[in-house]
Order: sequence, then C-alpha cells, then structure tokens
Amino acid sequence: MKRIAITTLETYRKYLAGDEWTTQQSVIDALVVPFQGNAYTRIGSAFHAIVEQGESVVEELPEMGKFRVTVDGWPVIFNEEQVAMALKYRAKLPYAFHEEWIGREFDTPSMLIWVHGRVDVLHGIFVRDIKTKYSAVKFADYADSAQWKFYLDLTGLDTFYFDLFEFPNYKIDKHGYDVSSLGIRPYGAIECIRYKGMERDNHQLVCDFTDFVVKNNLTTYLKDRAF
Amino acid sequence: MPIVRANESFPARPVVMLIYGVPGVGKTSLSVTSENPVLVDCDRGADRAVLRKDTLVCSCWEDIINEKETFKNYKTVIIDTAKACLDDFLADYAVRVDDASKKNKLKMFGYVGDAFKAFVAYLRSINVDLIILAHAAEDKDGDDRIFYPSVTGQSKDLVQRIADQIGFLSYGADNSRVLHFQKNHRIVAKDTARLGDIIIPDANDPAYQTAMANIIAATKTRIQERTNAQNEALGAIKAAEEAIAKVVDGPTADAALVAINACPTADVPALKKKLAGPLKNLGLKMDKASGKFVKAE
Repeated sequence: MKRIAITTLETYRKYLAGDEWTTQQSVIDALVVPFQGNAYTRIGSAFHAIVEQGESVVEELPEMGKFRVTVDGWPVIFNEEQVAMALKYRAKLPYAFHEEWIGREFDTPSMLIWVHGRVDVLHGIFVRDIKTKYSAVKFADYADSAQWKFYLDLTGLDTFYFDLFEFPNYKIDKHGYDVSSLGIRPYGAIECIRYKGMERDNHQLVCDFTDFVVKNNLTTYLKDRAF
Repeated sequence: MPIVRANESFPARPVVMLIYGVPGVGKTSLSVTSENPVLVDCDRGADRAVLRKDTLVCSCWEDIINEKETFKNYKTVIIDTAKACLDDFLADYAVRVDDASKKNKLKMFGYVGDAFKAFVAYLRSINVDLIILAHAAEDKDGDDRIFYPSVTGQSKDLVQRIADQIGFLSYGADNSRVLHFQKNHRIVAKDTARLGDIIIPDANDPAYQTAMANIIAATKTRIQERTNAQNEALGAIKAAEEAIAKVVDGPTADAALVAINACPTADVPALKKKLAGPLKNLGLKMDKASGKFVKAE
C-alpha cells in the first residue's frame, strides 16, 4: 500500500485553496524532493526537544545567558527567556506523549492509501502542535489547515490546539541558528474542534490528492507503507 | 484564591462568545437575553433591540475602560460591535496614547491586541461573560457566499482566537433564526462546547427571554465537562504509568495492562510501547489462551 504524509496533504490543500506561495510544483516537490529542513524548522525542532525532554537537552554555554540545543547535529542557540518559556510549557503537560506516529488507510477511487503523521503532543484527550513562528500569526492559516482535521480523525479525539511561539524580528540571513538576541512571544492556543462532516472533508481531500497524483504520473513517487 | 481539591470539579469559568450576522438579523436583541447584561453600544444601534437592557453608550475607548468598576454589577458584558470597538475606538486610542503606534501600523495592531486581551482578562477576573457582536462580511467562492465576522485583520484573528464559541446568526428556511456554531464551508464558526446549530425561539415566545443565557449556561457546562474528562484521562494515564513502573512479573504486567486499557483509546498505543520495555526485560509474553502475561519459554 502507498502512503502519504499529512504535511503533503496540507501542501496540496493550500495549492487547491489558491495560496499564493503554493504552486502545483510545490506539491510535486513535496512528493519528489526529500525534505532537508532549514533554520526555521530546526529552531522549531530544538524548541520542541526542550518541551519533550526538559533541561537534559539544554547545554549552557560559557557566554552569559546562552544555551545550546542540538538536534540531528544542528545546534540552535537560545537565550534564558526562551529556554524558560519552553520549560514552563513542558510543565503544563504532565503525562504527555511526544512525537507519536498515527495513521490509517483511506479507500479512494484511485488507490488504497495510508495517511500518516506524527503528533507533536498527545495530552490526555487533547492533541497539541507546537509551532515556532517568525512573522505575524494569521488565525485562518491554522483554522483552515488540514493538519488538525486529520490528526483528530486519526486519533479519534475531538480537540486540537496549535500552541504558537513567535521569535519577533527573526531574519534567517542575519540570525541563522542563533536566536539568543531575540525575544519570544507566546500566543494563546488556537483551538480547533471536530465538526460534523470533518471525516468526509478529509476523505474528499485524499481522493482529490490521489486523483492528482495519478493524472500527473506521480504514483511512482509515493512511498510504500512499511509494515 | 480557593483551592480546588483533587476530587472536585473545577468551577465553571466565564466564557467569550462571538456572534455575527447580517444587519437586522437580531444579534443585539439575542445578546441581551443573556444573564444580567450591560450593552456596550459602540455602534449606536441599541435602540433597535427588541428588549431594552442597561446600555453604556460610548464614543471612545476611555468611555469603556472608565466603567471597569461598573461592570462588576453585571454578569454579562456585550460589545456591540467588535469592529467599532477594536478598529475604531481602540485603534484611535492606541494612536493617541502610544508613540510607537503613531508611526507603525503593526505596532498599533499589537497595542490594540494587548489592550483588548487585558480587558478580556479583567472581565474573566471578575467572573463576567463577554459577548462580542459583529456584522457579517462576505466573500464569493464561485457561486458560494462565504460569511465571516466583519473585523479588520489582526483584530479579527484576536477575537476569533479568544472566543470559546463563534456563531453565525441567520434566518432558517421557515424564517426562524438559527445560531450556527457548526463550522461548514459557508461560514466561520467555532463550537468548543459542541452545541451544534441552535434554533432561536421567536421573540414572542417566553423562552426567548433567556435564550442567550441558556446558550451560555450550556457552553459553560460542556466546557466544564471537557475539563473534567481531561483530568480523568490524565489521572488514568498517571495510574497506568505507575502500574508500568511496578511491573516485576506476570500478575503486575496484567495489572499494568488493565490500567492501560482504562485510558483514552488514543493514548493506549503510547502506553503499550512503554510497557513493552519491562515485558522484554522480564521475558514476559501474552498467553492468548489465558489472556495473561507469562514467562516466555
């Protein structure tokens, strides 16, 4: 059985919705080009590592007020306020499970396909996703996203939260992997609730996506589900 | 601050409702059927409401914040409308009192957001519910009309984010009014309390007098139930993790599995993964016939 990541389905949804930064080529790239990561995503991974593992992943540097967190060989430098923010958030999530894989098969006219994703935080009856942001937050970007709908569908839960943390004035060329000169701004959680017809919407998106894949001869780029 | 004991439910907390609809659909009239309300009339439309309640007629943000103490006498504060309050009054206030807001529109939006969040936090602290009213704006998507609350940019994001419920008030097929909390492709909505779509009684029906009070009460009950469900879930997970930590033989592994299966279904796979470690170390496996863990031969 072929498989597809929820993140790729989200790219496809944005393309369908006419997002100005997401073209048909973006969808093809999401399938064909292995995602390498960049400073934006690695800062997010390092922040999440503190939330998941606590102080054990934080290394204090000789320079006053600087802390290093290394994920997959990529060191990210935070300041004390940012580390404290991640630890405070972690403390609010007792008995949480992090980075849990979820998935299930969807039967579409084009193929049977396994849709999968990795939940940032599974906390009791709530699903949470940590997003580090580098520009102003738009509610609609989250409320409209397919990510939370699939996560609720695949976990069988009803409530999803996006927990957003912004690094104001971050510039990738200037700051790179060192955000210690910046502040950190937490937003209130964006709550997303299961609604009537959510599963139908998800199924339709998967059907449209698999149809797109077949029509564009991209089936070969879908990976097989590992058992 | 009173302590809530471990075996007690958390008290119901104040809620924020965002109600929007086309002009004349009856948003203000419905909102004043809430419990002991005061209408903060930023739009000069209070005189059109079916039921007249205490009203603060205001023309600037200072008119609102100067009455902070007065709000303690009420159970519900109604902001009518969000656009007039945030985009006009509060934005104007920001530009007058904050130097950074004068020069930079982004900073102005930031100031507006922070000031409004502080106002909402204050209302919560005095246990007052907040109803925010907004006109409906609409976009076209092909032949479809899509409705959303008419508030500008970042203020719209803010009110949508802080609202527990977002309802679109419209006329149904039989001319009755329906408050749609259920999200669909035509409207922006939010249904934290899972109330679904609610038919509003006719204004002549005695039930109309408390229509919004009943909706708010139902919202609070559902939110409280969900909080309790989360606490129960975390309690069950804690018990399961403790049982996993105590696994030393077949019977303790059996007990751990019972504890795991008492947890929400979504959490069970992660807990079973945790149990797998001790099972492997102790050489235990499930005997399918007895349904119990036994030493692997």
